[in-house]
Amino acid sequence: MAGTTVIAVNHVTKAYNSHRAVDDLSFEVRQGEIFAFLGPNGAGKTTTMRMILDILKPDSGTIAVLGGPLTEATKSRVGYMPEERGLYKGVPLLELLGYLGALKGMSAADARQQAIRLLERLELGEYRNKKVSELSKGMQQKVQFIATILHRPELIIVDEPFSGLDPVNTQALKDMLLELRNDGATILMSTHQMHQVEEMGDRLLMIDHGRCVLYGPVDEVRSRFAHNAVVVRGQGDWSVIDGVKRVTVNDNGREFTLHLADGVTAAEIMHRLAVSPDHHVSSFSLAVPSLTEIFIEVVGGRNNHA
Amino acid sequence: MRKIWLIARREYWYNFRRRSFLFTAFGVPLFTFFMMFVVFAISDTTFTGTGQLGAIGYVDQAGVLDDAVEKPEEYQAFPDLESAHAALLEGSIGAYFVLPGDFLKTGVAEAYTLESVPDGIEKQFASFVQANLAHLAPPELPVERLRNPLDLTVIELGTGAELSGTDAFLGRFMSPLIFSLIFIMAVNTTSQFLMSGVVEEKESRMMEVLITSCTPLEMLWGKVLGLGALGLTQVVLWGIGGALLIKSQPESTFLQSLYLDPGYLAIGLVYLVLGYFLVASITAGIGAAVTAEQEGRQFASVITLAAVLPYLLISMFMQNPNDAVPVALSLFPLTAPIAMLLRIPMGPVPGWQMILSMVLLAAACLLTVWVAAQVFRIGLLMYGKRLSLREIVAAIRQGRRSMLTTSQEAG
Repeated sequence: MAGTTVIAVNHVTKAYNSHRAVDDLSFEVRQGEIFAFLGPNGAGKTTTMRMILDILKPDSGTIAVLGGPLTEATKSRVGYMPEERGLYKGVPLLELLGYLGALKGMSAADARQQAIRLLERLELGEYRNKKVSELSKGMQQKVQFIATILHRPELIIVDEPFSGLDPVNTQALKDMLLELRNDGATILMSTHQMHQVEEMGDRLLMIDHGRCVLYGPVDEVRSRFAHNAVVVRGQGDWSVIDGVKRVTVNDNGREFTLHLADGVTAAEIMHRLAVSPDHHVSSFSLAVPSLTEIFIEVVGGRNNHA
Repeated sequence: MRKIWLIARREYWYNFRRRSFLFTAFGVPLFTFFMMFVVFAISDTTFTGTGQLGAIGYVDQAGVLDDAVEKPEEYQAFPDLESAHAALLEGSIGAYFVLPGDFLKTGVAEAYTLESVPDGIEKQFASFVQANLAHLAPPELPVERLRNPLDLTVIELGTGAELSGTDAFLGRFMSPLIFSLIFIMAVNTTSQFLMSGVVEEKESRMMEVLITSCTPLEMLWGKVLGLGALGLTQVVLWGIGGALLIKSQPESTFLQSLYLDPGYLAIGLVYLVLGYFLVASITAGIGAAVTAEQEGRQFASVITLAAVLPYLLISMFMQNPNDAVPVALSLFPLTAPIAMLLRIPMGPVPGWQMILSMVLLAAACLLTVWVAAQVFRIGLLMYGKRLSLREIVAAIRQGRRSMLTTSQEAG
């Protein structure tokens, strides 16, 4: 089944008054992948997700979810965590989760059992009879996440799942998302946190001003933006090596990026370093930019043009 | 249907546990109960004073009032009606009682006054008559006369009113007032819960989660039904309170004489339910279209004001319940529930008017629930922005289009 299209967005446009929030956007999300959805604030991510969920209607273009337009039957196969969290404040957790599970078509007993299991899993077991308003913000967010995955959805759409979470809880949520993916669920995740995409994402889409600027497998996008450079550790004067145009010191001071002249390959540099008596190399790798750098480069560049 | 039931059940229990509901549902009847006890207790003691009217005259044509029985000092006997009447007009007495010749047999007596006779004076005179009857003890005296000496008709010369069985009229007139008040309070409480629920869900973004689990129409019906059941609970609780009150005060002729015809109550219930649906769906639509509860309440208060309009025009209903304005108000859906509640006890309402008014009301309910669901759909997601009239109209159009296409697909 891997590779089947779960979400197909086809030339979708959505405007608010004269402002085009989403502009002729097309992409697809495939079964069993973690699809990262990136873009600066106001790029149109949330609008796009709301259109996928049929909360908003596109002005033009089509969207298919799990093989067709989103229907009442498909709704129960989808879990959605909106960016701005919202739960009934005055309701005990188990009752709240039971209600939301039932609305997604679960039986009362199943919803209760599953809620208890997930609450235990995210270390909220002892709070099961507490009200939402009695929990900390981070705990509320975990409850919201449980509400999203309670009914074992095939498609999970999460908007900024890690914002406001401490590292321990971030890790717990990440582990669960990876586990769900390994169990066959498809995950569409929007985030600003590039390192999460690098660690978890299979493919990514980056939009800016409602238009697609980057789209493809995470590794491929990163190597596409790779400059002709290598990162080394060790001792020696790196600038004297033939073919090295410029040397920059990375932030920790122990790593150096060697920018290579046109036509010079990394293999040639490795060879020259290996035979040089004045240089001692402890590590050598290709300089692949982080997604943060790509993000700044792509989005920053566009904004400068504007 | 399952989702509507789930939503309705949640809305019911969630709001049932609210402090403000528990207060209105239980607190208000308890408070009324308490107040009524206080009022009855006071009226039994204080109002027996007879000072306000000054001297009281009587004309004894039945020959039952014997000088041997000590009479209150302000009492004064008159030989005939003319002299008593002259004294009343001249102001030397405040009222006079007349015991006609057949009084022993019938118990029927009259009281003449310029304005009104305090309850206390009636009671005092009744006990004076009772004492005389006991003293005289004529052989033909019916036992009933001793038990219940006077069947009094008060004739108010000043206002021209003839209050035969005073309380019966009051009861007939008070029942619709009380029922419409209950209606207003029940509808008000529940539609306020509805509005604040909708605004809360909208503000907390709970709505986005809900709307990806069910349709706006399911959500709206669930809310309207759940809170409607809550309003009905409130009415039933108040009804039980009222019944207990009537039972506990068997000597209060006012409570006993309330107009409680079962047919009237049944029709009232139908109007109550339909009227609630109408107000509730309008309120829900408003809740979805506005950004803050405060703002929503302002709009909703206009609706409530329109619904209670008949209450404000009650004098027109009393003068002629079949006049153009009362009839128009009892046909217009928003005002129909209260207008009909006021009209029915005051005289027969033509059957066609009753049917037409119910049909119009039911049709208006279906229409507003549907329109509200369309407004729900877009309004819930427009954060921080009030819907303009144009956007509402657009939403309704879109709703109609999608309804047409789905029905075509179904066909």
